[in-house]
Amino acid sequence: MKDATGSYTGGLYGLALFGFAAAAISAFYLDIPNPEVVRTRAAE
Amino acid sequence: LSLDGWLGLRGWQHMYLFEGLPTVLIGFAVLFILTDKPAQATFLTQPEKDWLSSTLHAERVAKEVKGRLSLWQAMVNPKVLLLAFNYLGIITASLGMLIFIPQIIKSLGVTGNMTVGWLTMIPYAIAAVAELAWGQISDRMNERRWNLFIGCMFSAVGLVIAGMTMGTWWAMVGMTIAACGFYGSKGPFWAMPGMFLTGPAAAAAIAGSTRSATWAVPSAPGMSAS
Repeated sequence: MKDATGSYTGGLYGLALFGFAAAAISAFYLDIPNPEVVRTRAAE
Repeated sequence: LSLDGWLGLRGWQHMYLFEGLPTVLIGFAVLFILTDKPAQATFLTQPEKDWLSSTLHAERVAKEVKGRLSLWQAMVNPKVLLLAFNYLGIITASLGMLIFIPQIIKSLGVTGNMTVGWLTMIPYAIAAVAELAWGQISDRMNERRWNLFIGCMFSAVGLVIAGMTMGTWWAMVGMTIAACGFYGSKGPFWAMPGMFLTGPAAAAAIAGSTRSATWAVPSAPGMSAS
């Protein structure tokens, strides 16, 4: 990517896209109920 | 370290040996110290063993109420695949930056390889502290998803800052923020497979997510920069 963009800046922006993609996956698709929290709420 | 030629080995060969040695030692420590079950652990008191065993049992029962996945079901479970893709993103960015850092520091005018090595340590030393603190915060909040999200955002924003300030020492600040995100996200991330998987399925999910990191090695954009 650095070669494609011709600069370190372009390479770092490319890497940042992977970070943003990982953030989007965690925000939109990783809603996993925590069994410990579910158990605590059930006990209350 | 001026070890080039010592014992007939090149300097970089010594580096590989020194870097691999702690992992080998920890491997032996795991083999002899860690046990399969809390009840077998000699380093725990009986009350600690009882509490840990009952807590683990209660957590397993709570997870298996919703059904238990087999090893192969876990490998194709959408949540497991999404966790693997999430890890792929973080590890690709992390490895890419790791390979970029020495070259970026050299581009700032630093010439000595040893000095470049010491400066490269700074973001990762700070990230090590962030990893511990982030894990503690995630545990106290009993929250994983948004802690992971914030870790990913730190990574991405840190890399953007580094890109925007390239050619100045502020790029090091950006890469330090990114490193804190990479390592801070590990605690919340690795807690997630255990929230819905048990036994062999959990092991398969963890192995599958880790495998995604090995895909990231050749695909890391930084590889083309070297």
